Amino acid sequence: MNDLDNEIRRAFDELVNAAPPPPSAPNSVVAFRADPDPRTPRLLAAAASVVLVAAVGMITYTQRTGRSETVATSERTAPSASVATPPPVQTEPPLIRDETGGSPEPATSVESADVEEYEVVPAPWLPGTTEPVPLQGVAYDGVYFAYLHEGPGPEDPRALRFDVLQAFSGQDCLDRFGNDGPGICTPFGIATDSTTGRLDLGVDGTVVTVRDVNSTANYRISGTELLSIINGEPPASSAPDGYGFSGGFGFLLTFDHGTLTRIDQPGDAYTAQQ
Amino acid sequence: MTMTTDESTFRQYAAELTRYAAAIGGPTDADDVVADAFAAAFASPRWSSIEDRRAYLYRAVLNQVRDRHRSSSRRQRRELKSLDTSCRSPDLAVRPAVVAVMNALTTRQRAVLFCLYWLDLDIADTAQRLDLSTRTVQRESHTARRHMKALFR
Repeated sequence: MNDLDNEIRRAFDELVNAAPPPPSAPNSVVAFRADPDPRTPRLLAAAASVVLVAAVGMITYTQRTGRSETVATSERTAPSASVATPPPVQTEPPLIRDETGGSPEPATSVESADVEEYEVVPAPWLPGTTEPVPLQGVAYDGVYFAYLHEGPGPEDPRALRFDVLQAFSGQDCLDRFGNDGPGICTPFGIATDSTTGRLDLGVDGTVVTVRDVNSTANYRISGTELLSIINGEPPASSAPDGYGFSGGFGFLLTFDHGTLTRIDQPGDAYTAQQ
Repeated sequence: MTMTTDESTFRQYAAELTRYAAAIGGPTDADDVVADAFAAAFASPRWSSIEDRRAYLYRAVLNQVRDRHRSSSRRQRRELKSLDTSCRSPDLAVRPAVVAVMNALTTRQRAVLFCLYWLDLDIADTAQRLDLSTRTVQRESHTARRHMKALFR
């Protein structure tokens, strides 16, 4: 057994040892069966199915809001030197709004033109290699891969928290991961030894394209709509029947010298283009 | 007094499901997660026809954890703050680093690793317990280990 195995077991030991006693009285549980409302089982089953579809990936939720200024803090997580040492978290100066009095490069979202929600659009261009997380103080510039952060969300309810990772797809991915590639590059492979960046981004003025989890079609929506559906609200009335959102696809975040210009969901089986 | 089947099932699995919920979703409200999972399972029209109720309940807990991650960001913020080194609750023996590492994984990855490493299940049994394919278990395990390797380094 190697050190990593020991660390994983130790982590679960800590979590399990901190578990509370199990719920003691089954009354509340059994009472559920006595619910006289015949709709209840169907409603619960429907709710569970929605959860299954919508909670595939790492998702952080914020409250639905109106138009926002882009607010961002950024932090980088980097591997520590020792197995036994907790990974340090380095906090970068915010790239978008400096709350510490410094003067970082601005990164603001681009105001979108009036967006017709759920207009069908082509699948986004998928780079073979996304940009690595920039060094501290350097503005984001280019196309980055990110997941919605799973865990506490940003303080600003108009923002979304993303974990940015360098990703590889297509031949770049196969070259990077060798024999592991076919199992990893579906379509993105992520190098775990790379730095992770964390960004809080206001998105409600940004053009967004999302992937339909059911039809695999791609739709253009507004950032406001993205905030709304991530917050668990139903899609806009213009959404096609059966549309389903999943944060598990990840996102391609495009920046132009620190300015967030668009957000795209690449889907899970998209072939790289040039 | 004769216990009903549901009560029996509850008594049989509540403790292990609470440990499972703590491992994949955090310990603070693991008991509530399990209670809600039982409630959802017992209310399901499929419940009476479920053969592997243990596996079904594992999936129900997983769904509850995912649901709570989606819907309770404010509470999570408060909980994670309580795990911060500066204001760590003395009754929680979980290092902030562990919380950070677990947050880097998906809920399903945590569930897979819990089955493999804490329950000592093999790939096939983990797949059965979580209703996943063996390929998915292998992939999730591989990806999660890569993440953790980087974070624990």
